[in-house]
Parts: sequence; C-alpha cells; structure tokens
Amino acid sequence: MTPRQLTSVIGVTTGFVILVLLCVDWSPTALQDPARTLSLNAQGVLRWGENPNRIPFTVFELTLFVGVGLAFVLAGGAAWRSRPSRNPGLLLVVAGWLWLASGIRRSSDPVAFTLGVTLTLMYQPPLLQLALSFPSGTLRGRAERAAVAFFYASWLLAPAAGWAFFDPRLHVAVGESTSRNLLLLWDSPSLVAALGNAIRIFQISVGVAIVTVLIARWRSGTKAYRSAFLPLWLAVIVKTAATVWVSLAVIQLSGSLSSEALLWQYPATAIVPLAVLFGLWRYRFARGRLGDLMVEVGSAPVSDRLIGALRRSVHDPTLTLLRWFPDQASFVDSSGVPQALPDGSTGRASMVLERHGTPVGALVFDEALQDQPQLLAAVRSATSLALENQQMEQQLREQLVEVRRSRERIVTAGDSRRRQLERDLHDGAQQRLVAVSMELARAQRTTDSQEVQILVGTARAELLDALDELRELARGVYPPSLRERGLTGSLTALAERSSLPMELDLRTGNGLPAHVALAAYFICAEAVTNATKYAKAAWVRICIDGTEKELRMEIVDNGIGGARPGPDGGLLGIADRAAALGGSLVIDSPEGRGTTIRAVLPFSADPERDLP
Amino acid sequence: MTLRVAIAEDSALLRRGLSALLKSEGLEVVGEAADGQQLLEMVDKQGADVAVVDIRMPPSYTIEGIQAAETIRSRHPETGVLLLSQYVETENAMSLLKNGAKGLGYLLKERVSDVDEFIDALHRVAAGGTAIDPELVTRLVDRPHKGHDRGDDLTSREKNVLELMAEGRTNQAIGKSLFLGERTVEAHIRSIFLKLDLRPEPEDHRRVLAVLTYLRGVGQGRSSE
Repeated sequence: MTPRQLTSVIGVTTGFVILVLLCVDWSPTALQDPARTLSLNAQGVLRWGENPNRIPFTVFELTLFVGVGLAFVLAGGAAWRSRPSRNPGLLLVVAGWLWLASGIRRSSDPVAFTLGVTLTLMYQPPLLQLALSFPSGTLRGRAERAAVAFFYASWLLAPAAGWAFFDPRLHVAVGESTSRNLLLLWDSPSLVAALGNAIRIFQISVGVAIVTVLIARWRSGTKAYRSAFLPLWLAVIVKTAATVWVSLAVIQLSGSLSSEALLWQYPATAIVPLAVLFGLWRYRFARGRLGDLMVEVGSAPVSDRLIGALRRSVHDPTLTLLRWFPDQASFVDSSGVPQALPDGSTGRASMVLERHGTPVGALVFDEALQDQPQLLAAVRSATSLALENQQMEQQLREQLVEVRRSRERIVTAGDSRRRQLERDLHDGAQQRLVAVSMELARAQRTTDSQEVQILVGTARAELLDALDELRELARGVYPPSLRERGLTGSLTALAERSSLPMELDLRTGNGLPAHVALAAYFICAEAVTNATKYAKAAWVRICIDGTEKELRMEIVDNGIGGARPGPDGGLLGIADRAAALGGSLVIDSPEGRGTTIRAVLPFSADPERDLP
Repeated sequence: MTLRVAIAEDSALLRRGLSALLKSEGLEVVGEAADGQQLLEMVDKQGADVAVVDIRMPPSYTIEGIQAAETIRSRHPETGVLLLSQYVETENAMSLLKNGAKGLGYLLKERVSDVDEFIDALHRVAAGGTAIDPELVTRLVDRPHKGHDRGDDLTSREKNVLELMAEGRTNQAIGKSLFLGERTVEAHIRSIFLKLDLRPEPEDHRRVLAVLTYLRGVGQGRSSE
C-alpha cells in the first residue's frame, strides 16, 4: 500500500463519515421515521412501521453504524498493507464505504434518502466476492466472475424493486414518516410483501449456494486454507444468525426483542472485518512463533523439533524439509528417499534453499502459504540458518575427528620410526663398533705383526661399513642435501640414488620455506618408495611448480596402481604431512593404470583456512 | 719438495687426527683452522699447496667449504682445495666445479683412511688436477634412465675408464689401476668421447668436467631453483 493509496482511503472514508453526519436529520419526526431505519428493506420498513414499540434513532446507534463502517475500512487497510495482494483489503474497504454510504438514508432529502435505501445491502456483494476468492482475493474462472457480477446487479436491483411499490408515508401512522421515495411507481403493500419474500428466498438460496461451494472447498482444501478460513466461517455463522434474528424480529413485530435485534446486528456485522483482523492476528502470531523458532534454531541442529517448530509457525502440519544430495543431484526426504519438487498441480509448493548459489535443501509446503511471502522469507532464512549451522557443525566435527586421528597417526609413526631407528643402530653400526673394538683389543694383545695387520685391516673394513650404515640412517632422518642445496638438490640426489629412472621437472622459485621443502621431499621420497617397492613401476616423474604462496606437486609412476593409504602405510603419513601444513594431498591410483599423487602445500599455514 | 697442507675442520678430534696422519706421512701442515674465515686468514698469511677443507663448518653448517674453496681459488689460484664431506652429492660437486675443475677435489671423509689414495689425491689436486669421489661417479654411471642412452654403447672396459676419468685420474693412473698400457687407455678415451659425442679435452681437469656434466645430464629433466 503506497502512502498515496493510504491517503486516498483515509480521505474517502472521512468524506463518507462527514457526509453521513451531515445527512442525518435530527428532527424528532425524522428520528422516529421507520423508513429511515438503517439496514431495513421495503418489506422490513413495512412491518417495522406497524410496530408500536419502535425506538427512535439515537446517537448511540449512529456511533455503532459508523463504527462498523470504520471497522471494515480499518480491517481492509490492515489487510491491504500486510498481504501481497491488495484485493482482499480493497474489497473490505469498498464494503466499508458502501456500508457508510447507505447512512445517507437518514436524510430528509429525497435524493439522499432514495440513494441510501438502494445502497442498504450493497456492502454484501464485496464480502461474497471476498469469500469466493479467499484467500488470494482474485477470482478464478469466468463462472466466478459472472456469479460476482450477478451478485452486484441483483443486490442493487432487488431492493430497488421493493421500493418501487412502497410509499412509507402511506403505511406508518399518519405524519410519522416524511420520507419521499423517488423510486416509487405505485404503492402496493401486497406486491412489496411478495417481492420481499421472493428476494429473501433468493438471497437465502444464493447464501446456501455460496456456503455449499465454500464447504466443498473446505473439504477439499488444504489445512492451511482451513486454518486461514476458520475465522471467516465463524464470522459468517454469527452474521447469519444475527440476520435471521433480525428477520424474525422484524416479522414477529412484538416485544422489545425486535429493538434489541436491530441494534445487535451492528456488532454481528462488525464481526466480519474483525474476523479478517483475527486472521491477520493469526498471521502475526505465526510470525511471533518465528521468533521462538530462531531461538530454537540457534541452539539446536536440524531435527524433528525444528520441523515441528516450522510446521507450527506456518500452521501447515504437512511441511517437509528435503535435503540436497549433490552426489545424486536430487532432493532426499528424511528417510533417504529421493523426492521430486512439486510442479504446482498437486496443491503443494516448494522453496529451494541455497547457500553460495548451490542448493542445500528445499521446503515443501501447502501452496496457500505462498500468499504469505514475508512469513515464507522468514521461514527460508530460519531454515537456511539451521542447515548452515548443521553443515558447519558437521564439517567441524569431521575435521576435528580427522585432526585427532592424524595427530595420533603422526605420533604413532614417529614412535615406530624411533623403534626402527633404534633397531637399525643396535643391529648395525653398534654391533660393528663392538666387533671393531674386540678386533683392536686382540691386535693390542698379539705380538705377531702379521696377525696385527689382518686384525687392523678387518677392523677398518668393519668401520667403513658402520660409517656407510650410519650415513644411510642419518639420510633417512633428514636428507643432508636438503639443508645444503635445497629441494632441487635433495630431489636430484634422491633421483641419483633411486633404482628407478626418475624424471624431474622442478620450478620451485624463491622463498621456499624449509618446512615446506622438507614436506615436499618426504612426499616425493615416499612416492618413489611406493613406486619402487609396491607399484613395480618402470619410471617415476616428479613435477613441482612453486608460486609465491604455495608448492604444487605431482608425482606420477607407471606401476600397477591400486595404491591405498592404509593405516600403517607411508601414503597416509604423507597425507597427514600435507594436512599438517594446511595443504592437501590426493592419491589417484586406478588398478593397473599407474599412480598419481597430487599435493598442494601452502607456504604459510593459515590455521583458519578451510574452516567453515 | 714437501707438500704444504692447510687444514680446516670444525671437529677438533678429526682436525687433530688428520693433522697427525699427514705429518706422519711426511707432509707439512701449515696450520689448522676451525672455520672458513680462519682458513682464509691462514692461507693469505702463510700460503699452502693444498687446503683440506670440511664442507660443513660454522656458522651455518651447510656448504661453507665450497664458499671457502671459491675464495681461495680467486685469491690464490695456485693453491688446490680438497673438500671432505660425510656425504657426496652431485649438486655440491657441480657447484664446486662450476668455474672449472682445476685444482679441486671432493671426497668422502672416510677416504682419508685409505692413506695412499688420499695422499695421491692431495698431490693431484695440489698439482692442478682433480679428485672426485668414486662413489659419486659410480652413482652417476649406474643410475637408471628411461629409454636408450649413448652411454649404453660403451663397453664395460670403456665404462671403467670413464669412471676413473670422472674421478680425475691421469691416463697413467688409469692404465696402472686397470693394468693397461697408456696407449690402450688413450684409444679407449678417444672411443668414449666419440661415442658420447663429447669434444675431446686435452687437460685432465677439463675432461673431468665434461664427463661429469655428461653423466649428470643423463635421464635428468629440467630443473631450476
């Protein structure tokens, strides 16, 4: 609703109220005139005029009358502002204006009086239109439009027909009615009564027809439709009861009941816009629930509780949440069954929830909810938030588990490496040194110079072997060439010692941090070991490309493939090594088609990298 | 004439052992240094025929020996430098020899215990020749490679000659160690250079570089750092 529209509504309404206030003739005769009784048709006036206990028009009744009209306009304005379609609100506003306009029948001016009596029931067709087009306010199909056009026409013509044969001045105690009816052809009370009954029967038939249609819709309608329509049902029932009561009161013509009945019809009528207000309140209430929903979402992952809260908040117990499975490229329900999104022919609507442009889930709900875009938007953001929360939590948990596992593996690998080192030292170099010491001791004790030569010679040979072994062990602990000549030098040395032909394509650039170089070296060494020992490869190729921020490496062999990072394997160790630097390592090893290891090692391990 | 030797070695134990060994072999030790700086001062002041230098020395314990060798070479071209190391790596060798192999040597530390060989290498380097560790040469010669290589055409005898050549031996020494006449050795060497498509180098230290460069290039891809 634009400010201009709001101003127009306020202006027109004020105009009608002022018009009515100006039209009311406060002379005692006019106040007593039954013809000017608001809301009565010709037949009603005829009967009412015969009632001796009539109450005169009062300021109180005028207040009630204007209040009902304003209630329509206010409810219509509120609906107009809060609903996506302006139609329902506009219909209520128009009904309010027509209601107010009929107040001019209290004027002593014949034109105003005649116009007023003609408009007396004209507030009803917009309400019928609203009921038929509920909740969107838009009529569907030609039949509905024709029916509504017929309502307007008949509601205008039927009262006019009654007044054509009714001159109030002739039927009330002489002098009590001064209203001049411009529609009058000739006065015929019997005709008025007949017409009145016919109109009543006609209107009741129309009412029954509409109620039948609405009941049918109610039965086939979705829960959301029912919950939204319920207040209107109650209003229709109350209003109908009041109307019947008024009719009976008018016809009975006795006792004070009839006077009260006339007054009671105002609140009964006001219930209609109030029912709409109640609907709005339910709508607000739903949004209030969303506040609770946010609290719930904030503290809990996506669960049945969230779904329950969503269902309560939108009054749609059929609402379901589907998850997006990228692997299957489909939406999957809570039991894991793939589900297609509704195409609009089933009365269901859906809303895809996205994160960074990719779907994460979808909500499927009653299509009546589409009438409430603000509510849906709130539900969308609440659910997206919950899904995102859950996803983050899951990622975090997975990362935590992986970090814990890899930490354990690193420690285990370190321990087993120590054990191995100790065993190698013990069985190799240490034993040889003990042997050397024994040989030298024997040489010291012997006097035979030839034997001394032999013993010393053996001792020297043992020592050289021990040196060899120690050198190899030390190389395994930390490659000396890495320290002396950097990654290129150490990989060249690795290639020279390797029993496989190795092709090196190295572009490492400047500023390669030592810890990255070490990791890169061990990854290559492990890959070469794997290619040599298990993959039966004939060659290995190492490509390393360094930028200013990271090292990208690819190690390819032509072996038997099928390499898997096992719990005790070195491949898992190098994956851990890459992960510890905040990098990544992928092993692509299809059976029979060689192994390719790709790794990316960032120079500065941002601890917050890759965290969701 | 007695060879005048300067020693640079950060481990006092090895420094003293080396000094004692050289002295007992009748060589003159002009001084003992614990790092490259001391060595340079010593050579500057007293001069030496050859310096025996540990490759890893303070302050960074990486390749200080190579840097010292370069400085000595530029300041005292007549002084040979023999580097000793716990490991021998091609990269280090090529870096040492990048401006020519004249008067340079690169051996495993333990070669010292084969005293005759070691003294021979010292003399060779002091005389402007070259001494490259046999292990490094063997590693390069035996290294596997993809596809056919010109080195595959060499006979096993030629390969032996190639290895000894790469170590920096003279034709005479090669003949002696393989029990061949000097002319036969020369014939083998001509054949090797022809098969490997190398330019014949008259001087021993230049052919060391040619052969090492060839061997290093076998089967190796591009690299840059």
